[in-house]
Amino acid sequence: MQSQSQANKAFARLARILGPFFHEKMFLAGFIMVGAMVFIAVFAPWISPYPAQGEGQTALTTCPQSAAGICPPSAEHWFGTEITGRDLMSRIFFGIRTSVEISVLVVLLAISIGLAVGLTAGYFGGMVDEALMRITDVFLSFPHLILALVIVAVLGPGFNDVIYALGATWWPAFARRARAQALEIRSKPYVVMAKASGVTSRSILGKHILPNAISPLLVQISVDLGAAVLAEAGLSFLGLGIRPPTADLGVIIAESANQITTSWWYALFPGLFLAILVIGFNLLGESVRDRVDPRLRGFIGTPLMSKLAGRRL
Amino acid sequence: MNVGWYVARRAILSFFVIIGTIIITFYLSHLLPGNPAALYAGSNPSPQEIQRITQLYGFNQPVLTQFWIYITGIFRGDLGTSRVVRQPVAYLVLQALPNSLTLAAMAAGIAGIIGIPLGILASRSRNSKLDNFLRIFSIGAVAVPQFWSGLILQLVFFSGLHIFPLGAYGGSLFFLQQHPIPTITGSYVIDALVSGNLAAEGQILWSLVLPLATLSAYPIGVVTRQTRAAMLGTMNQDFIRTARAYGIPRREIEMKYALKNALAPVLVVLGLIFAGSLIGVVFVEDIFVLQPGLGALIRTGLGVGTTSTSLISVPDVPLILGVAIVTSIVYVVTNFAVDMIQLAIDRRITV
Repeated sequence: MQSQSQANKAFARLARILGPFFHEKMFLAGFIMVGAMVFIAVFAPWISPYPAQGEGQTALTTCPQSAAGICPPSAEHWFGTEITGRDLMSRIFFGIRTSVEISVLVVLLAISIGLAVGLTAGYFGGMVDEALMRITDVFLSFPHLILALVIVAVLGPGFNDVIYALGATWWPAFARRARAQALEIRSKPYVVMAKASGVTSRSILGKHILPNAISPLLVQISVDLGAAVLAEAGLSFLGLGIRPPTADLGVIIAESANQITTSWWYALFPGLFLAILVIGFNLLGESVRDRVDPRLRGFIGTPLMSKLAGRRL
Repeated sequence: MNVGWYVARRAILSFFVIIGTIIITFYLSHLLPGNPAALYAGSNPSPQEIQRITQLYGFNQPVLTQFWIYITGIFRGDLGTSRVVRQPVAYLVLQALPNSLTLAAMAAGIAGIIGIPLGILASRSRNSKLDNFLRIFSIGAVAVPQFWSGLILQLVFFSGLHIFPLGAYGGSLFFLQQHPIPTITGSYVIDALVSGNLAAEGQILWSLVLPLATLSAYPIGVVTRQTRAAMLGTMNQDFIRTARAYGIPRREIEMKYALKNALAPVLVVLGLIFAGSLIGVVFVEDIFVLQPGLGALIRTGLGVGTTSTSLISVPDVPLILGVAIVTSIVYVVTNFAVDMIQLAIDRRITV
């Protein structure tokens, strides 16, 4: 009984926070797009027409006008087939699964590193701050796809390596924001009091700074998820990301590049789904940010824009 | 804080960023588990080859000595030897860079030429159809990967409408053999223009329409939004209201007074777009087969074809690291230049 009313209360609170967002067209559109893509990602094995081909099983089909098993859309294959005769729709669904999985893991990794670095720098200040933030600057002034490319080139491509490479290049923006939060929070009376009463730095950081610093960072997450999807697809496009037989949108688009003059469906569909996923994340992110920080209206998150946000214009 | 100190501080910071990137590439190439000599030697090296490279780069020496060998080499312009192409990496990168930088500069230029007027228009009629369209356009443009939008442009304008060539400078891979252009800067676009070969220049520019459209779509969106925001901010200020009270026509106020103030942040954005476009250039060069360029170099260095069927070979580590180091230097120098432009426009940033 108790827990149910608590759950109700929690739900009511969530509804109160999120409610106004649903009146906004932009948020609603983003929510539907991301919702649909996440649905596909989660249920790919069940909703794909040919689940086994999504996971890499080859199925050479032949059709009169195309070579190498690439067939135009038909009743059996709504989006046509790709290079080894596999059903393109199944490949795309499983590709979205890969994209969503990787982007979530990359952002989680980046946020953990960013929080650790940023909060430490902001809370302790002085030399620690200076040292950590200059390291952050180095990472921030490196075109991050190039850095990821270097890391993967040395480590070798693969699921985990892509996550490490992107995570290692993604954290600086989070670190900057976390530092700014920590700087602000550390002078709040409750932190000063805690310090005065002898609470250790570690528990101040964990119990007071972290919970209060984290929510402004969450505003950024949606936009970062979109950018991470793009970065992963870019790496995979270059052949540095996910390796076959795992389905990946970047890999499918790369494979389609050689067939562009003969097979329009091959490049078109995977890119459309990729774009819907990223646009969805960006719409969500921008509508949330409009509310939190209207000054940034229109600055959709990309590496370039996160740099701009830190600059005095 | 005085201006000289600000410039010095920025310069020192930029220098440390470059050192930092060298440390990162050093760490990745020398200190990760595994035999670094093997990474430098490439696929199936003979034991003698491994021996030779170990000696050459001092892989058997203490870490600091290795780093010294590495960093002094870089400052002497020695980025190692590509094992795929068997030529000095520095030479390869310098050969590729002019074309790629030209593409990035042209993308930024186009973004400015189209984006600034659009931004002014959008600021004039806030929440109008144009304003909303531009907003949706920039949301779309940032979300669509350039390696895909380039392909779709090829699909529409080459396969469908037969207007533009598929790719390569001048429209075919043999174009430059048929129309030799003297190498002056190393950038085809500039060299053809400087040497007065206008026919070739026309062909080259024609073949660059789709690549540049791909590259500049997102920057146009950014510049438009930035100009719009800056114009709106400026038009609300007191001196504009005063000018209005004097009865100066709105158009004159916009062009003469507001734009001058609003352009400063836009210039900064254009500088950042130039630097940021380098990544896009890599993809676009790859799709439109524009070579030589950084895109082709990276493709060579990775040793992977565009098809999944090709085997993974060991990447050409010296080449990839060389491209990364040079790209990051360009990036840092551009950022420094942007800071200096900003300083020239507005001294207050030193505070």
